[in-house]
Amino acid sequence: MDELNFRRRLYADPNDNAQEISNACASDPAKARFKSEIQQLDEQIKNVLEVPVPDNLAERIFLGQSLAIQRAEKKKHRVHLAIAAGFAFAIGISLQLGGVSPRFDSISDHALAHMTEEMTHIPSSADYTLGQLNAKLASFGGHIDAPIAPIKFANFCDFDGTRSLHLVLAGTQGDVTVFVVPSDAKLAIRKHFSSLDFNGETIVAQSANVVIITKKDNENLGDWSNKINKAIKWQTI
Amino acid sequence: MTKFMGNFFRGSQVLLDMKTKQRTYESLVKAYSTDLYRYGYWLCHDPSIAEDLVQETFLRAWKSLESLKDQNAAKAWLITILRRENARRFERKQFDLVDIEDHQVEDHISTSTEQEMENHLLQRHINKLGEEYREPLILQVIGGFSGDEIADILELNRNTVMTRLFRARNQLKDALENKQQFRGAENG
Repeated sequence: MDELNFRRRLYADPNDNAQEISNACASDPAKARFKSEIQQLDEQIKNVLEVPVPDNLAERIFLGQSLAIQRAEKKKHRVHLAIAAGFAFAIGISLQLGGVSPRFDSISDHALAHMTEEMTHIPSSADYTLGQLNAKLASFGGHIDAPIAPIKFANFCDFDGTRSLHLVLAGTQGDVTVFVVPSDAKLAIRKHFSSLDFNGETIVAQSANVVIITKKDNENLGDWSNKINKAIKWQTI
Repeated sequence: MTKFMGNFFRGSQVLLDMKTKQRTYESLVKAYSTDLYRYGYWLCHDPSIAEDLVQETFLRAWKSLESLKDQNAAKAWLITILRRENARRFERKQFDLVDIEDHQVEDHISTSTEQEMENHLLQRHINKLGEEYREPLILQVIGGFSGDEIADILELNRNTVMTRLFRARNQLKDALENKQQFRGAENG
């Protein structure tokens, strides 16, 4: 093996123990010396390349791994939670839209049920002023100029998810219940309706539906209906 | 019932697999984290980036441990992941690129004795080596890889690898000998 080739081989790999390298070293002391020199250099290189490693590197890697797994788990949980929440939301929406819940699909049924439910809360005295009533009616675009009857109750209520106005007027022979429901409430309208004890009528006004309910035989529903219809002045809102 | 038992056994098999996976992983970390750290250090010249690289490497290794078919190839596999992570670092952040010529690399060897001074000088010359010479040298000296293995890792042919190794050592030897000559001239 020639000198150049010998040196090249050992520079490339000081631990090259191929037969021809060993033979060359055995027959030529200078070559053997060169090999030993280059191995010494390599020892020195190794010494320099072996930079100090941070303490507990392996433990830190294990820690990093377990934290990453935890993060991944948490993320997975969040996704599951989000999916579950999504399902719950979808079910809620479909119940609302599909009418699976014990909701009333017509404005009149809802009005009757609502009135019956609230009956015990209606005060016996008529303490509400027309100003108070108008302040609330204004948000539906309505206004009453002159009083039509003493006002026993005037408050906002929830009409199947739509903010509405619940009024109770003191009639001569009994209460007259009035609901002002915005037109955008998605409920079917029946002009005339009745239950065992009550009669009702729905007036379709400009921006709201007005539902009037009186006790059967006590009050003339038609008269009240006319009176209220005339009394409320609607503005475009 | 049979179905339940089937699921039960499948479940315990999964647990067992997880345990085996964890054991394999731990032994890989114990066996190779030091070498990987050093290799990473010489790629990026920064101790904290080197540690991040090793952390990232082992995280990726954990995720794709199933793809490691041959345990004997584990070290080369990990080195390949680390090199890829290092390349990704440059894609992410171009300004992370540090020119070693302008950047004072932290010395890890204190210079008191003659031998230590020489080591210090050697360290500076290793830093000055081109990346294409330094990388195969580190793989050979620290990683203990053969010429063929280095060729695989660096996707080069073996002759190119051996030539680069020859040039790397040749340059280092020249640098040290020049120093000695320079010293001799100074003393004489």
